[in-house]
Amino acid sequence: MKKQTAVKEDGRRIVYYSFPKNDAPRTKNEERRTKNRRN
Amino acid sequence: LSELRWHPLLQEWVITATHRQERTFFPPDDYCPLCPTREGGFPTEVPASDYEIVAFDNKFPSLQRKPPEPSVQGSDLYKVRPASGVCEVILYSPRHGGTLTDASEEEIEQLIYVWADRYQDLGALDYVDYVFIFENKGKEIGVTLTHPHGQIYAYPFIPPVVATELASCLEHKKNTGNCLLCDILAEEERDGRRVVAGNEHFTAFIPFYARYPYEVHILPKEHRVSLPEFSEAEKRSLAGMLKTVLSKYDNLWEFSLPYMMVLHQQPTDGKEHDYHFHIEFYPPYRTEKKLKYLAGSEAGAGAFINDTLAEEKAAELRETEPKT
Repeated sequence: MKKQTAVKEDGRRIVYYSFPKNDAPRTKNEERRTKNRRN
Repeated sequence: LSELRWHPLLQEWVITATHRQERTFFPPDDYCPLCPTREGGFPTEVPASDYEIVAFDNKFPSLQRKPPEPSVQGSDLYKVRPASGVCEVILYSPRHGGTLTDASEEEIEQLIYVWADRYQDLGALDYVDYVFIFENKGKEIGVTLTHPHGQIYAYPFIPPVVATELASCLEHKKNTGNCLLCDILAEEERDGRRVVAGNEHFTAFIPFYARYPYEVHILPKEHRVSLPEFSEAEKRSLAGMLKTVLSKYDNLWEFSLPYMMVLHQQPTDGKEHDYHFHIEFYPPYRTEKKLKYLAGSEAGAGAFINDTLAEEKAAELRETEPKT
């Protein structure tokens, strides 16, 4: 998870969250595939 | 104007926020303030041209990082204080249409990571005692913007419902040595009639003491007090459980079921508490076409009347796709 905080023109805060593919929480299928590879 | 006024009879703070009367009310779909700002388009709440998940300070906050001084002079009887705190909006997706139910499990999991991060960020502020994450969904609940989003209220006090639950947990611990919510979960799992769904880490059920007909609670099986305590596997599991419950809700009568969804977590006031994380849903429907209103008994006496049996409603939800 990546996080970028900014301040809007009127002074309010805004936080952008992004989930780059290699960084994203894994899905169950992805985890299963990883386990299979390990096996 | 915003300030906190003390209710001496109920012993609780009332947030007075008159500027909220001006908030955006059902804008047209092509003028959504929660969509990204498109090139050449009107400026929205999100200056970026795209985003995945965003949290930002509410334009019409009930609580403010730098609140104004109260408009009236307080007294011993009528205490008043600045409405310090934070109100944030969390946008689940740049897509205007749809709801959280339409999000993939992976997207819901990402939202859980954001919830955990906001809980930590806002809870670290010295004037925040409680971080309350919630979603109001549907016009029946009073939602005025249809873009999928939730909210966070970071209160300068522990709100009354949570304070009551904390006191009950403390009393139960003193009497039995056990966590009250751990015991409730064990009782619901032992009985089984009110369980709606379960997976490795979470159980969803309509509690014995439900106040709304389709009031589902989701509890972690391990004693966890807040989201940052969850392992990656638990966060993934919670996403799966949320997806299951939300899908059941929408499949129940084949329309997108309105609800209030609230997350109850440990306070962030720096004091010792022993809570147990849980999520509660309060859908306002009691049948496909009838709403449950909070009327005289509920609003005036605080005594809820549930026209249904939790055991029957849980069985209905179990039988609703995805069957569990």
